[in-house]
Amino acid sequence: MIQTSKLWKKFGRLEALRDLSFSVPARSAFALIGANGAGKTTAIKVLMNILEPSRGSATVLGVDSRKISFHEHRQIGYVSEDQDMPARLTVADYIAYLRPFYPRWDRQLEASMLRQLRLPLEHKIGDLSHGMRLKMALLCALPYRPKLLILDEPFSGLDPLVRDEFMEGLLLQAGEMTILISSQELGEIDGLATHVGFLEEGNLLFQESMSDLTARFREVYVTLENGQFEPGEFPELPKHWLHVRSEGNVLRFVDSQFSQEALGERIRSVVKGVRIVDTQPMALRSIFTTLARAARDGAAQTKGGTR
Amino acid sequence: MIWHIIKKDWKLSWLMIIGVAALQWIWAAIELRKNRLFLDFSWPQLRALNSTILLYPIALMASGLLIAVIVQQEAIPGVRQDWLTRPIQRWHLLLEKILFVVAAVQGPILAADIFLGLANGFPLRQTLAAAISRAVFLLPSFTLPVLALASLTRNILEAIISALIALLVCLFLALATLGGGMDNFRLLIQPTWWSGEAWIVGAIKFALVPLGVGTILGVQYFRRKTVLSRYLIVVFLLLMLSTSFLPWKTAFAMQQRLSSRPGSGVTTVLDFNPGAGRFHSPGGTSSKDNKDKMTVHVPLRVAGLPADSVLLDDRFDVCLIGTGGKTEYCGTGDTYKEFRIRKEGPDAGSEAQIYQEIDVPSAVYGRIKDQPLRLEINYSLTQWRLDKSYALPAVGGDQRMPGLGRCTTHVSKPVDPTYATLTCMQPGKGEPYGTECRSAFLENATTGQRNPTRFACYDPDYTPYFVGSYSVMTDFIENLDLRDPSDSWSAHFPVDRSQLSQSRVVVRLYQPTDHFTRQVVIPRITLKEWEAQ
Repeated sequence: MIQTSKLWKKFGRLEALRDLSFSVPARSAFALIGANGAGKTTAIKVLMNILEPSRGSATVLGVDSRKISFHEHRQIGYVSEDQDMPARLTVADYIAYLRPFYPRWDRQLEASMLRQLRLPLEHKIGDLSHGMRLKMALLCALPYRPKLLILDEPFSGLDPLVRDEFMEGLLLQAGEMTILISSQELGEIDGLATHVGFLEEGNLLFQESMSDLTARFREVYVTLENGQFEPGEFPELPKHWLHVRSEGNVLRFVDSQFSQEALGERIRSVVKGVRIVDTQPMALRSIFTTLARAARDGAAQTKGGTR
Repeated sequence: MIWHIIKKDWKLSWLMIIGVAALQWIWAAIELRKNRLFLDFSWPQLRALNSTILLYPIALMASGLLIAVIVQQEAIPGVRQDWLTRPIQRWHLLLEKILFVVAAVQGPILAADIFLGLANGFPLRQTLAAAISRAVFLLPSFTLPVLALASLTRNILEAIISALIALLVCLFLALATLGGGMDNFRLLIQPTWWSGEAWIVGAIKFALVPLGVGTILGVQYFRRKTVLSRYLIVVFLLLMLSTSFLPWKTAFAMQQRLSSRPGSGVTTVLDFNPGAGRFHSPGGTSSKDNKDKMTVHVPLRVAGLPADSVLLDDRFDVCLIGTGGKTEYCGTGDTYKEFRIRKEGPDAGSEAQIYQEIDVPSAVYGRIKDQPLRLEINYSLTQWRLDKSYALPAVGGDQRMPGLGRCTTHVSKPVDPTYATLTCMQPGKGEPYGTECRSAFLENATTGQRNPTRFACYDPDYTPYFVGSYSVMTDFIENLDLRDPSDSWSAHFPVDRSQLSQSRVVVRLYQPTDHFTRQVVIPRITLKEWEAQ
């Protein structure tokens, strides 16, 4: 559905995207995650042909992103936190304006979403709150049953109630389309995303299915029979053990290549006198923060020349 | 979808469209009042309305803002606009913007122009032709450039700043090409400056506008490359500026091809006429009137002039060549020293004697004044032929005449008038203060006595279309003296105020028929011999 290949985007000297390659399978919900400034929004704007890539290419619905035209836009729904809609039109006017552009516009779906999202039809778009505007954007992106829905930070600044309403509106349609969502609200997309890509400073660190990702990440607690861990006691820890720290006789880390069979042996090769090894599955948020911290620490080490 | 977007834009901007249209219509209503006061010779009331002229630039600025507002409903620069993600065909959007802007901005102006012509009592056909001609002029000179400029901006503030920058650039270009006090410089960078052929440069500029605007709108709407478009604007401005350099010979050759009666000036001959003697300055002053340049007066005979014609010197170039073949001086004649020869009436003869004033820089003159030189004068000439002649009562006249429009006659003041005045007005071509050649005189219809003819052929303009920069109506005024102004207004002309009731104003209109060149070569001349006495 979406395929990018060695995509670069530069703004002057700033490299917002660097050699970005990823693919979004059809009917998947692909979460593009990353810290602020990682390049998520830039990537999405390139995919929507709002920005032109500096190098590399991207295809959306089988079409080069540079050539995306009204044919493709009829099949793409787009919701962004910073979407500028005509402020002086009322909600009803704008919906009425958009309808004829989409041959597949479903008036019944529109009515049902209107009821669900409780949008004030007679209000001008400019008078709507941020949350209402996002709901409005969602309402304007779904009734034509797009093949692809692109959501750029859709939960930003939304209160929990509106967030729930938004998600309900979204999930109403989720099964029938491919979704690309960028968000830092990882708790929200945890239940939605089937695939995830992690962006760091314009680079894609990895992309994989959520099931694989959650399967290979575990928070590991190692308790010693007796004695305590000393700082710097384990200079040669496996590189896929992230965020390693110790408290008393408990060693904690995140195993990013978790294997039930191999874990015990790996631990025993590093640590003597192990009493208990406990593993906990991780939520997407915890995986993200671990990866973000590891990336930050890695960058800090690189800058300090200590790698 | 175009109509669908138009409906949306109307919904968003109808109030502003009506507001701007109201300004245009108020302007038209005031113009109508001024037109009537002009024809009624009501100068005090007309003067009281002078300040309303400010309404025109205000209406124009408001129109510019309206264009920006319409274009910015779907702003091009930026990455946050919702329309960028909608299935809107770019060419639909572009066409919609052009159509809507033309309808919303030029529609009310066209309506106001038609109203003005009709309310002044002119026929629909003439009014419509003038109004459409003005609208066509407005399109490349205002509407389309503003539309292109607006497509580079994302909000009104940006649009205003861009407009101010564009205004400053235009002012700079205008000063550079038309600035005061540097005739030679102006002629260097615009050889057609202050000539009837200047319209050719203007027409080329107008032709470039759709090309430039089309390119910029294409780049903006189909590629969304605002930075590239900004560079393109600079390129097109430079290209427009470069058209000013159109050589005189090329411009005149183009003008020649547009002659309405080519070859009608073939009989015209100019040659050196030394027998006429030296020029006698009326005030008895010599030619040493300027420390930078010296003036010599070369007597010329002009022959082969048809009856009821005007020969007009559009431009002349002079070259002085030494005996060894060295060019001592070449230059273009001063605009104010170009001649106009009028042959009116059957007794006027076909010949005329003139003194061609030639300015030579003092430094050069001092060196060559006593040397034998070869003088070459290359003339670009236009022959005008009498086209129409009208007469109307000297006082209280009110007539409609093709080519002149509606004309009225008045006296300057009820008691002891010093002149009779002819005021004329019409929709369409015919700018104030004489862009055409015309003559007018007072004639006693009973005795046939005439006062001296007033001949106006100041700034001939061969523009073949109507421009109408600020109004669809054009007018002119001609004051015909009843006393001799050269004699402290004390001496009466043959037709004085006592005969006004039996007199009439005769107006003659001339039309350019042929543009041609002539060369006068004097193989041996000594400049000092032709200084004024």
